[in-house]
Amino acid sequence: MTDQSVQPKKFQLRVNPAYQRVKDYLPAISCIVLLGVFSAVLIDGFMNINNIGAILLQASVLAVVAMGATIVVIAGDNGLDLSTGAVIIVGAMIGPNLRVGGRESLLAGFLLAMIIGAMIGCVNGLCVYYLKVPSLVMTMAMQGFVSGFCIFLTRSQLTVKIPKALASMNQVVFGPFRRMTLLVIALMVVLQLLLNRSKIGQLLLLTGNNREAARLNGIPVPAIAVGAFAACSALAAAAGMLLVGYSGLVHIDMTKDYPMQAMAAVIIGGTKTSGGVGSFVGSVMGAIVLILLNSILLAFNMPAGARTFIQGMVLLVILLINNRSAKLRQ
Amino acid sequence: MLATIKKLLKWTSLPAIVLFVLLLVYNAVINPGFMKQSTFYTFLLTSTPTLCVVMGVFASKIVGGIDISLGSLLSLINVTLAWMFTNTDLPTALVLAIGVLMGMTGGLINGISIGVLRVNPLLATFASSSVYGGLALWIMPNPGGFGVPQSLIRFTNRIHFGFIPSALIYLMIPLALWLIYALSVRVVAVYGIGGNEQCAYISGMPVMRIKMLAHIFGGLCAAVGAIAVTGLIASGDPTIGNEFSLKAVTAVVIGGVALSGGEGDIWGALFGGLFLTMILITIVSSKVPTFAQNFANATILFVGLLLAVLIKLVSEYKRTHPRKEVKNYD
Repeated sequence: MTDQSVQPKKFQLRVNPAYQRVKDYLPAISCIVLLGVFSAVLIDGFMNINNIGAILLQASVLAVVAMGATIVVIAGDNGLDLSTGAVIIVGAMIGPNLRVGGRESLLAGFLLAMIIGAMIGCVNGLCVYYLKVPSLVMTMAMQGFVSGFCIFLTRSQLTVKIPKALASMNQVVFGPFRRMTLLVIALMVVLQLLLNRSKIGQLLLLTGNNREAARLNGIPVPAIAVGAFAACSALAAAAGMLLVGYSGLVHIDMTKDYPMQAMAAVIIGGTKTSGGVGSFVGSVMGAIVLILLNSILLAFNMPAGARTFIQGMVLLVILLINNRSAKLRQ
Repeated sequence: MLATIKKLLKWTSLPAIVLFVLLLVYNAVINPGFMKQSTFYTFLLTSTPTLCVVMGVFASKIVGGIDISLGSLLSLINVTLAWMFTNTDLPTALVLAIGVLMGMTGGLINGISIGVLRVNPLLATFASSSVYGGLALWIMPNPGGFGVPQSLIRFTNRIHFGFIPSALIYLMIPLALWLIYALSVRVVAVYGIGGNEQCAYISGMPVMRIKMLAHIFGGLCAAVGAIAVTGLIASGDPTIGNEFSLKAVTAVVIGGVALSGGEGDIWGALFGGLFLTMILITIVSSKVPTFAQNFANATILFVGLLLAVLIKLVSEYKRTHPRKEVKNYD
């Protein structure tokens, strides 16, 4: 064709495509590498396979919650979910105690927990989308409501009978990888593929990018906005099951830090709070950064206050590096 | 007269006031001893710290941001004051001045990261809340510092001229500052930035400076609240302000301040705060058993929030869909 020869050359910035692809992960990757080297040099016996396995195991519960939170953040409109702490408790209460035909069934437990979690998430999503309650306030009120209800039901004495199948999630498969860790990695791969390759993932990204444009293009924005909250809560309920397998006991106060920690993991992972950009791999790496940092500080015998302080500083620095909005003067 | 009533019905603060009055009436009915002057003074005194934080959050919300670090800042100042009173011989006035300065510095740090460095307000203040809260826990891991001077304790509990409690004086410091500012022409810029930052910038409004000012004002509010807390509990408690921040955000939303900013006034925020503290009193006076208290609290909050949001939605709908006048051409 002769047309092609006349077309002007498109202006393109010369940026290495490989760099473009990993740019958002850079803070998380560099944090993991830095912390890893730092701990290997300074703390004896920190970098053995057992300890790495324990850190990965600890991170896997947070990673599942963080992946859920990622969906809500990607869906845009400054969405975030602070009710995950209570939903984890609900999942931990329902799932392991379920008996099907007198026998423990892990699959049925996961399913029921996730369905009930999704129902809580639906209420969140409906109120946020249709009643226009700010998601911060709505999910916080939901957190109080659900955890209050759990305390009311259990008289604040929660007993969980741990099924054998769930307790065996802690078994080592190979290297530092336990069963639960592998399960979470598989979940991460599936979700990431769904986000990048499937239609529903593309719809989620487009909705998050610009709600008005998405609506005008015939994308079912309400369904996706509400569904994001439902998916987030379903994942949080599944994380509750994992938490029971990991820690063996559940207490109402145990999970109250999870929502904010998950949010921090999402940000470290390079997901933009404006919506439309993000990845699950990043959020999992963010969760690993947080847990790694915490266990290094614990190894140094830091008091609780100092640990919180340093975590806050690290988060502030990462925010300054990768989460600044555009200049007003354009 | 009719115009005044119509204006009153459109007032954004109305839902919060109605909710507060409802709870007040309920309390007066079930508890005959409630309508005494002394009960009222105690109520005002115990809700002073919350109300101070509410005013700070209001200021940050009106410029389109949010500040969830003020509760932690309040704890930090409270702990520092108690520590300085116990371990140093500085005069009381100097210590209090240092506290106020700390509050303004904390607000300035928030203001710089949000206004100048353009980090998302929610995330920036989340990070700084871990920094402040961690510092507070570091300085004083457990509640303590019982060297608070008698003069401060007595002043906090005193009632001047028989009808002005000190709580009112504490509240009047930030309130008067805001009201004086609201009288000046400059307040237009504050609401303008909340309404549309880009337009405000193009119109030549000092966006950066006003955002920083709003956060410094928030820090000042936290400092005043911290001084009131120190006088109230006569010691330092590193976790006392933890729940204030998110509570204050809920109060501000119930008080009719728009999510995106630029709408609402301080009276709504204050009555929202009073409504929240009134819930606690209501639960105690209706003799709800301990295990159900969290649930009852969350339920009332939930219902209040939904009511406030619904009223706002309806009034907004009426504004955007005015009733068409039926003209009779016959």
